[in-house]
Amino acid sequence: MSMTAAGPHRPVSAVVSGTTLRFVSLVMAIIGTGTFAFSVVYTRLPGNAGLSMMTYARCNELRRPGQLGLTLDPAAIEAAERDSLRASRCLEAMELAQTAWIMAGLALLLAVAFGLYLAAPWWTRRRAGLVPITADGFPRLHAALNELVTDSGLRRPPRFVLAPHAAVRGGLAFGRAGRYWVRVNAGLVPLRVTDPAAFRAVVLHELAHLRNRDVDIAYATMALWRAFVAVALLPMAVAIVQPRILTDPLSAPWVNPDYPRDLLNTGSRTVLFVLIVYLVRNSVLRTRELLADARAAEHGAADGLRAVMAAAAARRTSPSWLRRFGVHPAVAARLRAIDHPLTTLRPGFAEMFGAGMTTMLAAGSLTLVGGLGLPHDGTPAGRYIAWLLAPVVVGVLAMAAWRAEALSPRASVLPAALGFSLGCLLGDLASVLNLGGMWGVFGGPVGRGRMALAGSVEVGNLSLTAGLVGATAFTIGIVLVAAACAAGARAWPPGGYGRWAWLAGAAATVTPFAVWFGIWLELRPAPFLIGRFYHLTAADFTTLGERLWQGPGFALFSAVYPPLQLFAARPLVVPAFVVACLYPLAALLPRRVAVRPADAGAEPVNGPPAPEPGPPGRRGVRSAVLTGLAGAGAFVVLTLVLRAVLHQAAYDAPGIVSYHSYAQLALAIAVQAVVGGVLAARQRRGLMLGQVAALTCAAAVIVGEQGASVLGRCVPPLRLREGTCNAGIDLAYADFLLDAVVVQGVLGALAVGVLVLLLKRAAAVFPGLVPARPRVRSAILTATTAVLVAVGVAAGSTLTAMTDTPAAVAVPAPTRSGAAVARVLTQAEVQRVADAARPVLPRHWRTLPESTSSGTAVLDDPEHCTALVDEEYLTGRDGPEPVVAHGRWTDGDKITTSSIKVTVRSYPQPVPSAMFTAAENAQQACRRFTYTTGEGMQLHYTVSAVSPPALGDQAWRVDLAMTAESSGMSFQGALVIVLIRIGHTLVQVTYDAFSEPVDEELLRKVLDSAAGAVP
Amino acid sequence: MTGTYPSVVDPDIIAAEQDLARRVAALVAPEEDELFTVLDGVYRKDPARLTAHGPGSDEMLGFGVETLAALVTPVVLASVTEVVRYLTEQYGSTVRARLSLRRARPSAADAEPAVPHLDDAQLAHVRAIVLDKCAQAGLEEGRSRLLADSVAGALRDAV
Repeated sequence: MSMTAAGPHRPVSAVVSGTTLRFVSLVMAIIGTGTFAFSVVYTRLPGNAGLSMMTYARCNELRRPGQLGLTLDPAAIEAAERDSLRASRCLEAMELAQTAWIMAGLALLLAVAFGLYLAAPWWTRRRAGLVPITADGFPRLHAALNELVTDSGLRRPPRFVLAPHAAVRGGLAFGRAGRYWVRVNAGLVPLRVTDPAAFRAVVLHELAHLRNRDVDIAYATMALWRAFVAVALLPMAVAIVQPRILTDPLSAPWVNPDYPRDLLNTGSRTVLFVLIVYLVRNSVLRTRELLADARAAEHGAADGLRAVMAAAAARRTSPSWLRRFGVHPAVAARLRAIDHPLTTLRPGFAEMFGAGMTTMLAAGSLTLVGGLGLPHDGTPAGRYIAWLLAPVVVGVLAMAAWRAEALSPRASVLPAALGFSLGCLLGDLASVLNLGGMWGVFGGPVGRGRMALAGSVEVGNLSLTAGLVGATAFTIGIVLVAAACAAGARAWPPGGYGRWAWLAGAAATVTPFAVWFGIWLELRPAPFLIGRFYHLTAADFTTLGERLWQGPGFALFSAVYPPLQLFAARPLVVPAFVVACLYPLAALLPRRVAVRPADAGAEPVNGPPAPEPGPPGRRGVRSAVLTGLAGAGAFVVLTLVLRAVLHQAAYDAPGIVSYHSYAQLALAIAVQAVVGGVLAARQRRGLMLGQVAALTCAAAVIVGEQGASVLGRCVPPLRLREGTCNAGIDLAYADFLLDAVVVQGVLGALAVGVLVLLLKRAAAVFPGLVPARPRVRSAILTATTAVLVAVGVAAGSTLTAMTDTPAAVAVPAPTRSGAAVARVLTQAEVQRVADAARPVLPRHWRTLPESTSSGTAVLDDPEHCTALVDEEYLTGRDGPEPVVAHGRWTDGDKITTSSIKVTVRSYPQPVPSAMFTAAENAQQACRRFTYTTGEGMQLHYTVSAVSPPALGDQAWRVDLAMTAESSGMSFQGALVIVLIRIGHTLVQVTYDAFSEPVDEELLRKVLDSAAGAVP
Repeated sequence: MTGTYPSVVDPDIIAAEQDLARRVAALVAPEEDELFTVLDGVYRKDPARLTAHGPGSDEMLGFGVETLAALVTPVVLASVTEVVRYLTEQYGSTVRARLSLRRARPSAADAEPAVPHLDDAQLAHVRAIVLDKCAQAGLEEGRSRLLADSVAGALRDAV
């Protein structure tokens, strides 16, 4: 058979395939889910379920999420963080015990996997009755096989064994590290004589599996998967189906009302996980098969492979779609791999999607175990896990970038990056850890009502807007890493330093991504925190006792982006970010002449040769540095002009210094963005040079700003406020500015550079519309870019302005006395008021039945506290009885529970203010008391006064903190009573929280809704 | 293709079978000569397993487009077994006695065949047995005929 269909000779094996990393991702997902399975089983052990529940209830009482809200008070934030740390330490002992169990399970799983891995070759030989192919028993066959081993380039020949029962014409590579076998089917042996090319193709294909190290990876993964099924998955499935398997196996699990939901939720996710692992494993194996075909073809098996494939295609019986899910690719794909080996390197959307899914499945589970076992020092586990997973993520993306670069013509890495990002996001949703209503980026009950964006679209408990914010933030990070890797791959020809350059690229970008990923993992379950950090910026100024002067364009200037601020503030990020940006330029260093594999052996056909790939020249770098310095010079001039204008317009205004600082920051970033845009428009490798220019500009801006500050302090027309002239250097501000301009400035330069390139590309599509004169063309490009950037920034500042009004900062409800009807309400009206709170309660709250508790309670201090406890302030009025209605709801009958009771009384006369005076007196008289229930349980209460809400004609509130002890366990709770007087109507809201904090936000909503419903 | 080995195993008959099968296989499938000993050993242990297809075509790290090979040696073994069974049914103690004599006095093998002379009808029956086995195995027609002729010829000329 001729070789006319073959493409140019390209050593596909010289380019990193990345399938090993995809396997690593898969293995991490299996191990991660295994740890989750062990944690599930742990909670089913006798005594553990109750202990866990009690401990979590007790320790979580130390947290004060309800009080954290969106408060901007730094002291409250600090207290909340302190409480969180205390709660974390409270859980430490129990969680470490659980971790020890999980680790033991993991050790068992790995031991079983190792045993299976070692035993697999033995079992394969035994089951199939394989016979060694020796020189004595099979002299001609043995010689032919050894010849092929030499052709394949394998240093150590495998052991060949014959499968006498296998009549099919095939083979199999198997074994374990250091000992490899190739099974030769009996049906294949005659081909050595009758069809030597086919015989050679099959054997070289199997030898290519050995050469590509597929056997080690594939069999290790299979062993791990089988061990996972036996040791982790099956026990977990049993524990899910019968949660009381170890305590009361004969009981009916469906008696628990949560059972069907839990079973469906965890069960469906587990099934989904198994399906994902199966499909991803097969996807990776299909890639390995293509690479084995490509390598076998490199060693002279192309003709035989084509013949075998063609014959197989002619008699194909199974549907082609089945091939999409098997471990071998379709024949057409294999023929492509033989004829055009580099096509196997194209980073596909689907394969990257699968890699993303397994990566995030691993992230979810490992975060759980990390939270249990890592030091309980208040550091979120996601921050550690991000460092564990970031090398895999960056490695996979770098691999995609290098593979895309190796293709001829070059492929874009963008679809691969988007596929990976989408896979990660959906993998996050599919994680077994994300229970219903707690789905990762979509937020959960904790985040409800506190979303960063005003007008957040919510469906059930999920915020689609928060999901969009989180998904976009994550995708931007992924695309930037892929872009950095692609720039490196473009600058470093694969034929030069090969795999080392790829590895160096991954190492250069892993630190910034790990930090970004860690921030994302932290913020993912609580997207409202993104909004909250905006307000922390303002809170800093509040702490300093400084009011901000909100002059012209303040919203624009103060458009600081919290995730980026957090990112830049983390240690080592700025230098690591600089390294990642400059890494591609390292290709400028002296190196040996490299030949790109894509071009090797390919003769130029027509036209001029393609532009030389690789990094920009030294002239380009010099140009970028000069442009950056020019930008810094412009910054200094403009900042002095700004000072002069502010001196004239708002001299010594409160907060003007802060205003100026923000304006300076915005100015520096804008200058860097312009610099990036200019280089993108004018230079080859403009994006890469734009980074150099932006970094140069950043460094020069720091120096220039200090000089401008000295001038500003010493030259009267440039002063912003009264002060003395001094030449001191403000290192703290320089550090702040450096962090901001390095990260945000470089990203701004990149964004504008990309925009310029997109506009140029768009213009190339419509050449008739582009003016012929270069100056006019440049002017139009500049104007269009400026308009688009202005629109984008305006949109961003609008978004910021929206987030500046968080939903949780409640606007006081208007007083209703003026509008309230001056009459007693009807029973229907009263009931409507009592029921008004229902819509604002979370969906899982349900109606609370009337209390049926009996027995006589005893009060230890009746003299001072009976009036408060028995609510005597509500009674003692002469006249007809009021019209009364009740509404009662609870969030469950778990050990931690809250209930809200709304009682509405409408009187023929206006509610007297004396009632509130009596309530206040009752509260003042009683500071603390002990209440012994009819069941003998002692509840200790401490009474405290709290500012009432600004509702109705008059409002009153009392808070009672409760502690109790039972069976050696201590419990805490809170009781809040609020009275609101609105004309003839008295609204009483009682919020009772047991082993969980009072949700102040929810209480406020209930009060607003009830008061607002009074006619 | 299916096959069962006789429950009563006579070493002399087995030796005769092996001898006949080896000669026939060398004629019809010389490319399989290195496989004969192994396949014969497997066939003696479990004829049904040898005639099964073996592993599927989508094994992990397998070749992936495996197609069923027309291995002739297992068909030869199965055919010869049936033929020898037919002959022992036809001639019973005569065959066993002559085989015993051949084992005790190898020089007698040249003087006297293991089975009496087969007439044309018997040879036609032998051919029918072989063709039936070939059809069960899905062997192509030309090769089936060659195999049948080889068996019949070997019986006529050498047994």
